[in-house]
Amino acid sequence: MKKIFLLTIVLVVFFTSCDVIDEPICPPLGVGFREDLYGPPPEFDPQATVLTNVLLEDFTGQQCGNCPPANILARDLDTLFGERLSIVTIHAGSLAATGPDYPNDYTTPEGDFYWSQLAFQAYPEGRINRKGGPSNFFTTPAWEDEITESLAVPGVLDLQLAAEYVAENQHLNVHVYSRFTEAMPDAFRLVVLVIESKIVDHQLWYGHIPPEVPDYVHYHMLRGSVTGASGEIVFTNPDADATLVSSYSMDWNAAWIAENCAVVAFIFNESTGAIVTCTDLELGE
Amino acid sequence: MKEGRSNFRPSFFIPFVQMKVMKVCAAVLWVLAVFNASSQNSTPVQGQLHGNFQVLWQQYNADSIIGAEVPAEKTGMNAFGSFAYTYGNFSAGIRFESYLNAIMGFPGRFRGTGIGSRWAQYKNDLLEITVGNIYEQFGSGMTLRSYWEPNLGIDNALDGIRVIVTPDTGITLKGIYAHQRFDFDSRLINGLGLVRGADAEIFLNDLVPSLRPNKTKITVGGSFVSKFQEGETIDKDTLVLKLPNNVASYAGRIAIISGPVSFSGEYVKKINDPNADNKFIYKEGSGLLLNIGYSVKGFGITLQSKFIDNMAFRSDRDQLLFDVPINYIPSITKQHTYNLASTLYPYATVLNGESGNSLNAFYTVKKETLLGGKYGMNLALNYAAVNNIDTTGLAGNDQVVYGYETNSFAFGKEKFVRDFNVELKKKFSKNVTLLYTYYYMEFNTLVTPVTVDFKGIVFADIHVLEAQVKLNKKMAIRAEAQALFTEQDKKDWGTALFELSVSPHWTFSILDQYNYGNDNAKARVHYLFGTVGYVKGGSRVAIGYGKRREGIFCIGGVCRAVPASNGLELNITSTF
Repeated sequence: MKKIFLLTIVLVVFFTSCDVIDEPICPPLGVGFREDLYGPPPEFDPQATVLTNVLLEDFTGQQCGNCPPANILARDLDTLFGERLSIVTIHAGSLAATGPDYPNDYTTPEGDFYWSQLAFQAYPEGRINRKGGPSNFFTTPAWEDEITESLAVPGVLDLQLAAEYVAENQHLNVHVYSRFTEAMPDAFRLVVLVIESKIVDHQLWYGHIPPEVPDYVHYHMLRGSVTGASGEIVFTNPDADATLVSSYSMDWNAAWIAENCAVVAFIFNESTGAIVTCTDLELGE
Repeated sequence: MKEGRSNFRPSFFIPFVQMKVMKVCAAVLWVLAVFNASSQNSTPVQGQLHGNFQVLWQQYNADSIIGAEVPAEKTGMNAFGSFAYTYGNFSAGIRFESYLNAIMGFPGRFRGTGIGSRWAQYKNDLLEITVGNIYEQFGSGMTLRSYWEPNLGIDNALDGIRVIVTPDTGITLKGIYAHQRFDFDSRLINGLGLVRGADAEIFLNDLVPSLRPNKTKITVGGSFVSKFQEGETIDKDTLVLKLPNNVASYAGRIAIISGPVSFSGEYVKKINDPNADNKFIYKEGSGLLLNIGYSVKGFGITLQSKFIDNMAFRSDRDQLLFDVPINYIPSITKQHTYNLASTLYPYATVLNGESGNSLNAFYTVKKETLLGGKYGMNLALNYAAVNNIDTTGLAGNDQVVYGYETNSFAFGKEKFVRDFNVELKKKFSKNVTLLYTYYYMEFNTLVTPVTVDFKGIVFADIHVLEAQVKLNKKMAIRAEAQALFTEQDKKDWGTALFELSVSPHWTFSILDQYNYGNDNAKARVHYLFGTVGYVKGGSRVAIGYGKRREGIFCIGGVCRAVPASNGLELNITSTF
């Protein structure tokens, strides 16, 4: 009896003391639209004309004295191309570090990951629809021509976005409508990022007198993501007219000012890394 | 960036409980002492009090050539006093510790004076119950080993309860439930992790009647250890990963002795345990330790094989180095004692993965033979080879989550260490004994970073000649001449030691370690250190002065970085 009692104790300890995790990866952070709070997701109407939009990822840093001209060029291109161009300014790398005159950290795990993808890490440089793969980059003189060329690629994906910031619940609700107009091989991932503009803070700018600018206005700054930097697979070998609405409720970060924020969504080919198309929506609109 | 991981944080609950425990321990010791004194005439049971003290005090001088720095207080002191009282089936103990401030090289957060260990134990034929601080080992230690090594600054004592049951002859069952010592700040501070373990060991010859007369003795055993630490998720690259709160390790072992032949083996597994050592991967850990030996009078040989894969196991997943290790990975390289071999390139066990083999043999040449002469001669040989393990890296998310796959128990391509050494000991007369030791080492400084001057494999030959001469009944001298030759790192070294013993109390020694081959002429420094020691009974006082080289100090494959120092040392030890 005594031995059985001891054996029972040992077995109880054994079977209650192991957390074997077969699937360590958690679902993306934003998963789980709060339909209980906000009702069903909205319905989207298919667009009659499907075009390819372009994402410009501008790698920068607050201690990068050569970067402000690139930031200004990006904003000029935004004006030039309008809704067909989305911009994400990514603070990453050694020149994005904090320092005595740069106390605020604007790096993000997503930005660090994108920076790590680059074949050569330098400032300023940009990716344009991740043409040539995620490691490929373009310097500022090539940006306009590359964007123009990418905009001319025939559209195959109808990508639409609805988003709202719910202040009382501190939620960001995002709905992404995606519809392929042609059958496509490969798997495709959806990424949803949050960017913020009008952040006033220090920036080194060699073209400015003095070069330490304490009240530089930062635009399109990557602040976080709904889906994680790699996103989630939304299509695998989609047929023509393959359609999906992806909905998310994400806890809002109190450090972000909602009216200055925007949501950027894009879908990329998992094999090549190239972005198929993108779209963005300002929350203040 | 990581979130949701539980870093250590002091809690007011811990000191409150510890204060209570301390008071209870002190009260128990006092009551027992009084009771014992008053009852000695009426009971045959005698209480016994034993203990030991150690004080190590260092004074520091600045020495820019060797890189010796001076702390603000200009001195450091580590001290402890341990007491253990036994009365019949009951025993209790306590250890006071003092770090005012800790000598350089010890964990800087060890500070103040207070109780570092306290325990009480009762045992009878069936049970042994211990509460408080516990030192324990299951099998070879690969699942659990708590120990105190004051010279390394290691104390991972378990703090809780241990029950040992012997329900039948030949069967020993152990159960343990405890937190683990993490820090010392005028009191013992435990980590947050909880350790639970069970171990069973069965001596089959006692348990099975038919095996009792058998000359082959067989012992089997098994252990299971689980740690608990709260945590939810961790951000790794772009992924969010679930943390396991309960992580288990389990092992089986066997030991067989049959005449001159012995064999022992233990195999251990550990489930997913993302931690700072393994860079938070979820791969399972495993380990295998095999020993086979043959020993007869005058000759013995032992072969050891070890395979370790991701076996760092701590009660706090965020800690590193000496903090809260639950297990211990035995070393199969020899622990050297001579100055150059032990301090320049000592190998430290690589917890994340290593595969190694070693051979250890001794032979005694008989007296009155050609080689043995009048007094015989002793030969000892040792060879150890350790590489990384044979793995294949994974890609994509699998790489982030699981890191790599293990292909086999075989050696990987990266050499960690080769250590060949042979020792001859010959007594030439009643008063003269000579020892010669040769070492050949290939040492990977990228794996055990003992130097910042060279990254790669150091190839070193070391020769040591030691002479022991008895001058008369009271006086003896011991002298060592050592030389290390290498083309890498700081190049060639020499060491000379002279030691005079005047029985029964005094010893005088002087040691000079000289980096005469260093390419940088300014670095060709004599590390001269002199010591005077006085011994009486169980007490020893030693005073030393001189320079000590920056380096690595190892015990059993566990190593601590020691900074360069220049100054006075006082070392007092006493046992009673």
